Amino acid sequence: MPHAPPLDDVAAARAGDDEAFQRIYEEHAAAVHTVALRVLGDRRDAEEATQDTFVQAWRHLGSYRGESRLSTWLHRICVNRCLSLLRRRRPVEAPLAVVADRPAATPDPADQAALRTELDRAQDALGRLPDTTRTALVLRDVADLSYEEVADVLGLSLTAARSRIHRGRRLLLADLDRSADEEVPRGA
Amino acid sequence: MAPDLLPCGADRDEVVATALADGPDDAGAPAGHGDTCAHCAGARDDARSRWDAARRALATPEPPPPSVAEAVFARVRAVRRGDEVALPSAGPGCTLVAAAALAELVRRVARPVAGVGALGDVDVVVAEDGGVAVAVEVEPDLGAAIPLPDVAAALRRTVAAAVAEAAGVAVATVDVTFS
Repeated sequence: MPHAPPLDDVAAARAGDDEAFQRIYEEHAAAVHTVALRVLGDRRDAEEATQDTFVQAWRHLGSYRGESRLSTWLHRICVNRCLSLLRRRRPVEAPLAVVADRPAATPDPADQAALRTELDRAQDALGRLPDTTRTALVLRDVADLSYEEVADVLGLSLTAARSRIHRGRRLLLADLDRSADEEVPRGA
Repeated sequence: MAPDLLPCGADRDEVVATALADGPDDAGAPAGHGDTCAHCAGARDDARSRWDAARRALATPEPPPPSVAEAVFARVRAVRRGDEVALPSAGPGCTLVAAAALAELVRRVARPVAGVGALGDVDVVVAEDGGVAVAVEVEPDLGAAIPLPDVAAALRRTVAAAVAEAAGVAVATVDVTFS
């Protein structure tokens, strides 16, 4: 997870250095895309949100003053784009289920399969959370933002952000419990 | 619904809530019974373990495919050159339109505007803050007896509406030069 704001790269990219902007992209693209994927639950939409996030970031690099981490600033752009896509999608009520092309983060096939199963279940449960709760949870637990940063990105008070994150965790875990109960009936 | 009580009488939901907190300051849970009770500790450890597994899975980084980087840099280059305008994207990949094509659109919708006699150069470039900036040279139709500011205002409205409708792009400015 990126932490130090690469202000030199930001300054260089702002001055027109494409390689500096490419370094920014390479450092943050996975984090931004993962957040978009978790919030949107759809690969095409997540790719669109990622693309738009970086183009918009490039356009507005001049307004980034380094007061927050660059990752926080990028997540703010990304989340706004995601929420906009969700509003556009709302009438369709599309299920938030990511399919195919799971990450190959672990070399052991058994571990990889277990992670894939866990991710499938968690992503499904995540998709059933209310949009705003899911977004807060993803920013804290996927993007690793602090409570203060989540509050800042979502324009919430610290108390509201904290409450939303905790509520999201409880709902997600309860949903996972229900799913597990349905798969393996008690006493079986 | 009746609370789900552990054998010790503690509410399972409350115990789980403390397990999902980021630390003691975050939990807001009273110290005491829960710290020493084996039932509470078991329920807490179980919830924490299941939550950690879910969180670890969700936090697994998933880089975007290379096509996203290609689209980002294509859009950046096109916008910088000013000779192509990036349109709002409705899916993977980017949509670009040549500024010359937008200029032709401007030409078509500007020509019938009342008070416009003939058109000279029409330029469309990408504006600094997004959208496009349009510049139109107009030879006024003096016989129409329409004040030039009114002709310019009608041109701005017509051009902005047409570009927004056809391309989904905002028109930041329309500079009109009467010759």
